[in-house]
Amino acid sequence: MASSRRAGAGLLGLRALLGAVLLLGFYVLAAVLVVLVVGGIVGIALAFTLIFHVTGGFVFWFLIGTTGGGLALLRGAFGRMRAGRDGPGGLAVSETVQPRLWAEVRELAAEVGAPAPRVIRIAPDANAAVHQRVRLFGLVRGRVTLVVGMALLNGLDRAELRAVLAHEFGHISGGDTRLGPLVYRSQSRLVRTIAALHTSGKGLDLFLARIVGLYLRLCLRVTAAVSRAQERAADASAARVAGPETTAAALTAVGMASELFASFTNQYVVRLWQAGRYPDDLYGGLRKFTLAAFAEGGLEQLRQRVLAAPSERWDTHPSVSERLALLAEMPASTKETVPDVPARGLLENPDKLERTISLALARDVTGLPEPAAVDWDAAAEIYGRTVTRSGARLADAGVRVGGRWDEPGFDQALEMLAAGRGAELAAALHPKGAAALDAEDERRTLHRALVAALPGVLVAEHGARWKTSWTAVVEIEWAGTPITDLADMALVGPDGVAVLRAELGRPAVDLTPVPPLEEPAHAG
Amino acid sequence: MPVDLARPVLDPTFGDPVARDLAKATAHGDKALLRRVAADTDDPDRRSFLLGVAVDHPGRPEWIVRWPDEEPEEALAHFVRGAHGILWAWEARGNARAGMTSEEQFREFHQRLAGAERDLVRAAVLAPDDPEPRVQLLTTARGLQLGTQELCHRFAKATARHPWHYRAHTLMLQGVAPKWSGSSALMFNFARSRAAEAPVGSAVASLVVEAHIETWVDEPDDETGYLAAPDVQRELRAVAARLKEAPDTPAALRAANLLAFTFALGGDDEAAAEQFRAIGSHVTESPWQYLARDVVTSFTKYRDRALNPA
Repeated sequence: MASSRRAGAGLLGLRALLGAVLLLGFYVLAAVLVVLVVGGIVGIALAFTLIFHVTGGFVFWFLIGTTGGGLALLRGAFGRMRAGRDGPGGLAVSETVQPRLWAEVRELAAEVGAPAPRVIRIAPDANAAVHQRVRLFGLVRGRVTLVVGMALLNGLDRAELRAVLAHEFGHISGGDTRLGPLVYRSQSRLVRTIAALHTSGKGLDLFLARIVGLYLRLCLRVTAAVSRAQERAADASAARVAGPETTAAALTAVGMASELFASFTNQYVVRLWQAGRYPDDLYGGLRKFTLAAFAEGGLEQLRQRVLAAPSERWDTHPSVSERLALLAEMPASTKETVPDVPARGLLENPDKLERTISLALARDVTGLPEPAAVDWDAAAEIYGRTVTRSGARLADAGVRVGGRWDEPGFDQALEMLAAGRGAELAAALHPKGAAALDAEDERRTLHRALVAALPGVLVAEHGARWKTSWTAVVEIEWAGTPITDLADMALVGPDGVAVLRAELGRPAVDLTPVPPLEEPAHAG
Repeated sequence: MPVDLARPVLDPTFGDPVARDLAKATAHGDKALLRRVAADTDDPDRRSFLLGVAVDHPGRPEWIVRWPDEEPEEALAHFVRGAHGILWAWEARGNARAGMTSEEQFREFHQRLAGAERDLVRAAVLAPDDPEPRVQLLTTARGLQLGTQELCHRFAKATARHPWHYRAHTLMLQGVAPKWSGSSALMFNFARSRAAEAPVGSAVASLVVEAHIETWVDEPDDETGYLAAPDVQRELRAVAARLKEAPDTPAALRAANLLAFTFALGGDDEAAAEQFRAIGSHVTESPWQYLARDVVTSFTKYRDRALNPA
């Protein structure tokens, strides 16, 4: 341990230098470029004055106006940066409210030789991070904040959480987070400057953007290597505390928790937000979704995907497989094993905390001050709307082809099928129109549209119900003939349509074209 | 017969004194007359015409944007912002068809229209018996591509409040035309069944003319002679017969413009002349905007040909 501290201290000066040099270097570059640009313009104006013996003032202003005179570069390099964008998010929890989580965190910080955090925040997602405020280019230690994601606490067991926390504290015991934000900020500054130059769009500014872009690539090349070395060092400190096997398990588990949370949110939560609602049991849903994925064998595929994720050239993290290989080379742990219980068990009153976080997240995403809570049963009705909307395609095609504005499109579609005009209907449903359809395409198109349209009819008129499904988002609870059978029936000609109409209680409709207008008899 | 060759003017007020005052007042944000007109006009078609004039201003006037915030419970405030929002959305779209507009233009169009939809839904909730917000919601349904079934549903809701609302019918006809979310069969069935049922003299009969114009637009080559076809001309005459005794309203003047256009392009100058006489100076944008030259020039060319045959 002592040797690694010394190595860390040896690197410290180098990194401080690096951070400062990169940022200052950019200011020098920006200043030189602006001087060159303005100098060039003054030169042209002077030359104009000397050659034509008239004042070159207007030439100077003309050139400043058309080229922008490097103003966008000045603004990007020296303008105010918006504060608070890269600060930690989440909900702060005090030691009195969450004593066991705090005790665990303190213990691990002490074990890794890092200062205990002053603030712990619980974020909604599946990440963990340590932030340290930077003063004087990172030479003075600032306040430490730990951010832990609620989805992480749900996806990891306690031993894995210990490994993750040890990893994060490994970053500050090595001293590198003090410089991390500085390096990060100087890079944001460069990215922002390039964006400002592109927005201006003037020829000179686009040229300047290329120069700054080259400089950014240089910075990334230097700092990415540093970041990746830091990551490996933090893994080593996690392995010392939690054992290499647990650290390896935690690494995969974090990747999986993150993927699961993202796909759960996309499939189950975004639609509720769009409807101005939020799930009051967000993480209960996440747990059920995870269990269902486990039962279906989906977790193993996910694990393979996480392991296979490559490390990109500019990525600040080495790939998961690279890190696992390094951990496998370490001697096995001699530490006593921590009981295999969910990390969430460290929280007092976890249900209430989860609800608070779900609400805060929904406010943040929707911008609504008071989104309405919805439980998973009631959410089914909102998911059902999406199915109903896609089912409306059949009704729309029915109205368009059937030609009646005052009859339900669904009934007109059935009438078309009964009359053997399925091809016209399919052409109206298919994005490519009639040209691309053979008989098999036609049948498939119609069948798919019927399967999408029938649930809406069954729910609206036949007491069927939407039910949340942890594998398919939403399914229909319906005791009658299965929907695919109903759709098959509609496709076997007039007799099948008649049976379907009887089962659904739908009338036949008259699609005879309305005759042209006749002149009134008395008009002659 | 004296031939009225008054200079044609494209005037959204049709020279109506109330409409003129209303256009002037609203141009500088004076809402008093607008409130009075909205409250006291009993004829729904006249009310629809006047409200249309009141919101017909380019850009996005400040008073229209602010009004619903100042009076959140005032249906008229939400209606005005919504109805103006539709014009403002089409301004972004640049009057070109969907395929021709750039992606940003389309995004802006969509955004403005979605805002208009929200305002109009709010107005419909606040004024449950007023057909006007529901009539305007026909246009947002079409522009936001909410589907043919939804369009029909909205039309039923609007006309439940006034069965022969002229604007509702013309907007619906645009929606069920093949170029938007309809088809030729749907458009003609709709136009013919409504025209056949409409009371004699109702401008709704001119839907059939509009349907023929929409069909002609897709093949506007004079050589095809779509509008000259005998069955088309016969149906146009049937419409003209129904509109002979029509009162002198903006809707009837628009219908006369449609008839004059189709008769003139179809080669029946005599029938066209009768419509041009009824029109006088009141040329309407539709359908003359379908011709290559500007509206007044095209109108004048065909009128002169019909009224002063060589």
